[in-house]
Amino acid sequence: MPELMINGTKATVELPDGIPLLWVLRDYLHLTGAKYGCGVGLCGSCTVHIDGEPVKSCIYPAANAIGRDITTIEGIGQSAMGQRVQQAWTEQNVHQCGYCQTGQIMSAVALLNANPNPSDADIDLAMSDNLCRCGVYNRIRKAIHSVADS
Amino acid sequence: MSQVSPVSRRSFLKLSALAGGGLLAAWRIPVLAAENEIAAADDAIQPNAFVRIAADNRITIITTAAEIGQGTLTAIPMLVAEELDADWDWVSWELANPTREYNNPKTFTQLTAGSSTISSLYQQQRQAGAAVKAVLVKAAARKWGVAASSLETELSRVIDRRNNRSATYGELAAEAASISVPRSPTLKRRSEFTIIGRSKVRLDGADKSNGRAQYGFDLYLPGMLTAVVKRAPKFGARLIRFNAAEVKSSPGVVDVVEIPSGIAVVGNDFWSVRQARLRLRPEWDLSAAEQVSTEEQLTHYENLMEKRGTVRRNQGLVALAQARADQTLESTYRFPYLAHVPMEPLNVVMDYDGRNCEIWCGTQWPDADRSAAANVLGLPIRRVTLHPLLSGGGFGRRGTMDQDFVREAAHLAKIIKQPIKLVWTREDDIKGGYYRPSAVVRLTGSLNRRGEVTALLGRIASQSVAIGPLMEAFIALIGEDARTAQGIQEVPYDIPNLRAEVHYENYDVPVTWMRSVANSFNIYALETFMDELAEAAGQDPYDFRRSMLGSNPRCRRVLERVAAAAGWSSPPPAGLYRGMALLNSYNSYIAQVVEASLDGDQLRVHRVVSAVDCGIVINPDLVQAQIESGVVFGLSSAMGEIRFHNGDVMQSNYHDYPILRMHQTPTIETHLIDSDEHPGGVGELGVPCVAPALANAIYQATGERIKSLPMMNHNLQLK
Repeated sequence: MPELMINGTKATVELPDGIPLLWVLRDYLHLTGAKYGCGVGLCGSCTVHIDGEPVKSCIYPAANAIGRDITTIEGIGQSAMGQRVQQAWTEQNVHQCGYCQTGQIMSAVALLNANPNPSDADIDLAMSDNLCRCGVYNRIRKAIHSVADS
Repeated sequence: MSQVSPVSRRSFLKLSALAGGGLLAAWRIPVLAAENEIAAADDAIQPNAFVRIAADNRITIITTAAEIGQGTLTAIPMLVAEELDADWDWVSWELANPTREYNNPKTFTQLTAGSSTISSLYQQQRQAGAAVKAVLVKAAARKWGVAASSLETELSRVIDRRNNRSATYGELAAEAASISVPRSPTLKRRSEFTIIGRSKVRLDGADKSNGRAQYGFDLYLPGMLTAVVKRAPKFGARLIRFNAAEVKSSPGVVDVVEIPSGIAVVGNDFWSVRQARLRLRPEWDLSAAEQVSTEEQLTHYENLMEKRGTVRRNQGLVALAQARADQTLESTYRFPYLAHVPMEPLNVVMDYDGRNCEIWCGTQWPDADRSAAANVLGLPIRRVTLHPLLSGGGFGRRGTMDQDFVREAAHLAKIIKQPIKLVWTREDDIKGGYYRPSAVVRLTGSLNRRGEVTALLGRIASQSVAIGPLMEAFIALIGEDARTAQGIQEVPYDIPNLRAEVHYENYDVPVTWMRSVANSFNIYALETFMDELAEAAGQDPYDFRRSMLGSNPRCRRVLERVAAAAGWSSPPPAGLYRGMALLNSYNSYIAQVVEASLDGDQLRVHRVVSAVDCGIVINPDLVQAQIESGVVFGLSSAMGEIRFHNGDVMQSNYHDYPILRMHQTPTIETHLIDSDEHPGGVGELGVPCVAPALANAIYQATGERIKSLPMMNHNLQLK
């Protein structure tokens, strides 16, 4: 059976043809931090990292993740940057319903890892794939800046 | 929990000792005491409580007010903790299962809607906190043999300064359980508040940052199956037959069954049932199906504008005032259907074994859902337990009048009889109904020679979210405002002659309340029309509005504050255009100024400034967060539409039903007015004004008044 490396731990799972990574994480492994929002890569609620890069796990074939490092919201706090971003989100009262925010945090961590001091334009570019129906975008921006400034 | 409750069942607050030395304080609504006697047996296994104090001094505030993002799980604990003098660092929340004792004291149900949570619980939750504190003080007094009046409380401790000793609430909890509870505890004055009025960090923030927060979608039970439903392509279509055997043999599929709403594909996991559903080839009888097309419907609504509708408000003599007017203006506005699209699509987990049923879901109306499931399953209510979970947004969709998504799950559970999670895909959500209704609004306004508005006639044609005026009145009793003429039948302005009429039209398109309900279109019409009237009167939009707010000082104050904050008296920077709008609803007041620019068809909203008076503010940062959220929601609503063509919904996902993204979001500034008034609502307050204020700004730029939404149909793209 195929093996996936998730948050530093090996998981052996059967992978039906074409199954997106999101449903392997959620329905097979019960890692529920990555959320289903649209199923077609439009909302970013399902964002996880593959080898440090943000991907939309609802359209990312799980088979493509074999042999790569998968990081989810459950594991992102193992990195200093992940912790700082999670803390900033809490301190800035970013959350409302919070459903999309795990995906937002994953996108923000990837941005800050690649660019420790992003401009507003950089943030727009990196974060505009992540939808939030509660509309907390300004607080997300503020939280990202606060991490960059700290 | 051990049942040690020496106080009368009829008492106002019921105290129970907890195993390990804690205290559980449960509220009883005196008016329902008799009924509760009957309910008590059913509910005995459920800790019906508002406050739980553990021996280690951790305090848990339990509530059924749904957390749909608005912050109730922080604001309600703040109300209790304030009067309890609790140590906020050790306060946490818990969502309670719906039982009668948790009914809202004003509405007698548990519907979270109408921006009414804080307003209706402000007094009750504080009383609960104060009563529990009084009991803890008495317990300490008894223990130390001193007068209760000589003791003080602070940070979850009772302090005896004279004798230099103190005890934590947790230490006193066991003893407190046997003490009688005061009927009307003394509440603090506002000047004594140390928690209310402070920007506390959300109590649910940390779990929402690390992925631990559990939404309905996240629940997995042992042996649980997953289902998706293929619903009719048009509302009202009937299923004739489908290829059950073929789909049932798909990998991972356990069963394919017909339920009233369509065909349920049941299997081991989402991916299996979603793939199998693609193979369904149902035949539908469309003879009774809804065939509406948006264009035709709105044209029909517009024709109705010539006829008198059901009168919802009639003050003065509008016809006479019109006859005497110096000028009379008339404008007609068209509004599309809209979808709530909460980020978490609808889902329900149900475990029905033929005898008892347990339900888990994010919902705005847990007690109604519980009853609906009992009704479908033919069970007495006591055999149905509902566990509310966090909701990934609601905006009204998780609180429909007929509990559609819970009923549907119950129909399936009745057949399957094992734990099952019914989930909606995003496409199901957008095509599956329960929309903000479409509407046409016509406003006729009369001005006298001095430029004063002497009469306003509003006519609205729409589907009622509550099946007509009688139900609208009934729904007001449960705390929601379902009135189709909301916002027009009670304008904030001093207009002596005012009439509001409604044409209720029936379509087989399910509609429901969506954040700010009819204000979402009526305020657009009213506030853009106010600018039109101001221009006809030769006045500045601000001066014009202000001159008509003599009898509404709180409205005038927010208008003045926003004008000052936005610099209304000086012209905007080159290339920027301003517009304003005003609203008094939910016992709160808001005025907004929008700054926008236009570059060809590229519309950019730069800044939205709001002044808000919502009475006493519980948590300023969370109020600001709600206004920010409302602004983004209102802008999304101005840009998108759900369009029908021969009964088919033309949209399906976020690509053709777009909501605002980060790069389109303006700077949002919110100024709160200091007030001693009873708290009003803020969850919906930020929504209605932003689109008309934007339209008024666009008029300044282009000279075109946008009288139909969405704005994208006017060749405007949000940059």
